Amino acid sequence: MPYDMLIPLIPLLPILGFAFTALFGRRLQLKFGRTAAEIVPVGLIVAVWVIAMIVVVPALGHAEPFGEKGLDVHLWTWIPAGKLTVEMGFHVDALTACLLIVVTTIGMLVHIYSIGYMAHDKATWRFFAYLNLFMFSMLILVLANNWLLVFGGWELVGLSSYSLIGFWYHKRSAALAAKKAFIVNRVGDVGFALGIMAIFVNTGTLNIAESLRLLVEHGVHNTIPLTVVALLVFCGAMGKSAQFPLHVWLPDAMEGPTPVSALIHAATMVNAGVYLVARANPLFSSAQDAMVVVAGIGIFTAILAASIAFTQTDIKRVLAFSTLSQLGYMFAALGVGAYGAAIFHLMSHGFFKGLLFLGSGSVIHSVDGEQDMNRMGGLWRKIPITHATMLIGTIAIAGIPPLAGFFSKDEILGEAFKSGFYWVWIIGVVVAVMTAFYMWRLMGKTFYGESRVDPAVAPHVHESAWQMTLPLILLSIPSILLGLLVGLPLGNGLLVGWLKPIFAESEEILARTPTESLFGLPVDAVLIVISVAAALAGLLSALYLFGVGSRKVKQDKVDAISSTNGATRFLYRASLNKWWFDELNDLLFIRIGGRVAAFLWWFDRTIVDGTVNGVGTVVKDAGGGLRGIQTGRVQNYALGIAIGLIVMAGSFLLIVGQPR
Amino acid sequence: MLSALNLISQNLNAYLILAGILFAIGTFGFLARRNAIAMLMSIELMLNAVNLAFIAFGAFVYSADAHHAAQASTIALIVMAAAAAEATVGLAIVIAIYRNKKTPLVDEYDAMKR
Amino acid sequence: MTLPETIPFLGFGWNDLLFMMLGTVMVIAALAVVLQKDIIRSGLAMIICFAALAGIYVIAGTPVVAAAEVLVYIGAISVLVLFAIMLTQSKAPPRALVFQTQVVPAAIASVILAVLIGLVVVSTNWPQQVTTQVAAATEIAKALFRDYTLPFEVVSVLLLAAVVGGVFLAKRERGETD
Repeated sequence: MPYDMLIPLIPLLPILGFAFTALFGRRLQLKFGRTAAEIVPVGLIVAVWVIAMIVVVPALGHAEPFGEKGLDVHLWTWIPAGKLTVEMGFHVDALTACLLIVVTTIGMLVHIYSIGYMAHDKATWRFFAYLNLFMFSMLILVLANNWLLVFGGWELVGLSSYSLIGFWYHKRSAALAAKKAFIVNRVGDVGFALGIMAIFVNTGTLNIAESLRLLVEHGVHNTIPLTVVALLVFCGAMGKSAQFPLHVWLPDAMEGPTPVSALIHAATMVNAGVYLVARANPLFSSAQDAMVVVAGIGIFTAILAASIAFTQTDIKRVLAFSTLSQLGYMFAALGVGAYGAAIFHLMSHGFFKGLLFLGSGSVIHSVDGEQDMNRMGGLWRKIPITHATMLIGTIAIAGIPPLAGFFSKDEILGEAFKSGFYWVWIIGVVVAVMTAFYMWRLMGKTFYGESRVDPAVAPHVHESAWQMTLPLILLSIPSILLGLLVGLPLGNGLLVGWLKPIFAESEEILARTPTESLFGLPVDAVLIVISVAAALAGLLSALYLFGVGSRKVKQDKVDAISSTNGATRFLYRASLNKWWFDELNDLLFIRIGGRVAAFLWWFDRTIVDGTVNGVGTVVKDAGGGLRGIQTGRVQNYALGIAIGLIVMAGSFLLIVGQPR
Repeated sequence: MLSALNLISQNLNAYLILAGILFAIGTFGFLARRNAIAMLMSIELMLNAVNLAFIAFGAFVYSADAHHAAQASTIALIVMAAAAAEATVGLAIVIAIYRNKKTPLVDEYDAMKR
Repeated sequence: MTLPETIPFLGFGWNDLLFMMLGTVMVIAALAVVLQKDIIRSGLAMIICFAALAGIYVIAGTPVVAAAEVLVYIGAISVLVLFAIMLTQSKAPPRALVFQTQVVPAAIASVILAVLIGLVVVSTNWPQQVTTQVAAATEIAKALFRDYTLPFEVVSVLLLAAVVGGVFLAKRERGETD
């Protein structure tokens, strides 16, 4: 198998698809209809999936030519500038393979889904072009073997995300949301760029494997301390994966079409940050202070987002905050050193969150564009396939065994506890309860109880086309089986085995001895019981309040709970307003920053420009003043001559002297 | 004291100083008079001062032989001819401008100002 | 009766007296030229100045030039100037219009100029011989027509050009009334 020819094809096909669709898509759609414009981009992505699967199998199994370290494919030297030599190359190992599985599978299913979802849109060709561009950028990011290429893919992903969020650009809110996403991402990217520069300063190379090896070797002798480098790199991860305080863009990003939310903001782009930290794991393991920061921010984001999801009424917003929360879990896992668990959760979350988003898209499609859950209900009989798959997704995310979410989440919590991060574990369990609760709330309000659907729309509610339900069904399969396949036995499953060589160095550096038993019982068992109990607690309480089947939503009980006393009322309002972070940003950067900017503008205008203009004015006025000498009268000029003569003669007389 | 003035007419300095005074008066008249013809008259004064200087030099410095003595007179005669020509043309110009501007005052001839 | 060598009371010679008198007249006349309000009086003062100058030329030993001075300057140029004055007659201007606005700087410049020239003259060692010779007309003729024929001819052409130019410039345009 000529892998060094196959691997470059993986990013090459999507960019060709983008170019083709961007150039010819419009004409094809106008002349031959939607399908003609869709064939090339969708077909190419299916081909990419096939190739990716061919590449992934040996990579995971450490077969030749991948081996334990992975395969390096060198294409050409991108920047040959002496000390700064950057090559264009790909590196495929088990970690890359995991990401490839998620990216290409969900990418392919989203492409197929979009055929049905965008069937009524005028600019379908543009959508698919952007989707292909996004696939290209994400694949470059994942496959790259040097930091600069990762950064290139990073930025391109941001750009594609901007284009896709603001796809319906004539809607002002969509345009603003796209801008917000891009700008907030940029803030993180600054940190990432500085991190890359710091890596280069420390090691003199931008090749990922080389630089990581050198960083660990130099240890404390690095010019720029490793903690600083790690935190800078984490900055980028924060921006891309929407961790606190750069989380504000993700809920607004729901302005984009649902397939975009599914692809980018559930399964791929937001995972880029997790991938980055996992890839740089030797760096982080050598800077344990940074790891604590990562874990802290991760778990804080988790509980923050979960608390907001309690009160949101837009179905996509709930899922967005849920994504934030699960990403927080992943970063918490990375922070405690459980890299394998984080990647496992990345994969399982990709599948069931993608499923949930696509399902919500199907729901929205069926109620004619309505996204407010308060105007849904009683849909479980009318859209059965969507309902069934979303139910599977909800159970998966709640962490009920034996679905995938249970395995991955429990592994994270287990590792946290066993490595001594008890605070992470406690908060993680609380978040698990909350997750189960708000996810069932979503199900209850959307599908069960009496129908609150707009009477005008109610008769038309129907199941979506096969292009939309097929991906749902396909995604529910790994949601159910992934854990069973690669997660057993707990803590030492197949996946962890595959990823071991990647994280071996970190394991060495961290050199942890996990707690083996707790109160005389095997600690794993105890932890499993606690997490399942937590999940069930959340689920059952939500079931009670929000019903199942035809049971009504107990809205009165809900209102009673949320207004019991001042504290709960405040919590309810805070949750509804997303803890006022947007207002805080607005105050800090728009108002105060605006004042600073206004002052600087005044300074530039008045002082800097004034100086420059002043020089010009001085010259002009001087010239104007001197113009007065030209009176046009001969006598005045003659006086000048006389004075000049006197001066010259006099000075000659005085200076040269009088010979007597 | 007055006896110090003896042989003053044989003293070159006297003639030259006289020429200098005449020249200065002519300069003042040229720079300060408003009437164009008064300016031209001042120019004539200046030219005469120069002539006087030439003659003085000719009389006192180069009086060794007759040949040299005549040179200063030659210069003086040619200067006089040039002065005549210049006065002619100058006055013709003044008359022409007077026809145009109806005034002989130089203040009005400022069409070349800024 | 022969005149005594030096004037009895004053102590200087007759030539010197003549020189001083003519010099004084010349300077006063020159001042009158530049300071007089009435321009015709300026012109007449100029004539007196030239006459005095001619006298000084005689004392300096160049009677030919003195004669030329009288003929050319008084006889031709002064008459020309008087004609021009009459042709450009305007009402006698009040005092204020006699002098330009720059009269004071001009006066100062002139005074300084005179002082400078005086200083230069006095402080230079002129290689001077005491006796003066009279420049005879024959010598002048020889010089003019033998050694300096070219300047002579050029001056003739200059005079021709001046005459033609003067006529052309001052000619009345066709149909233009005075």
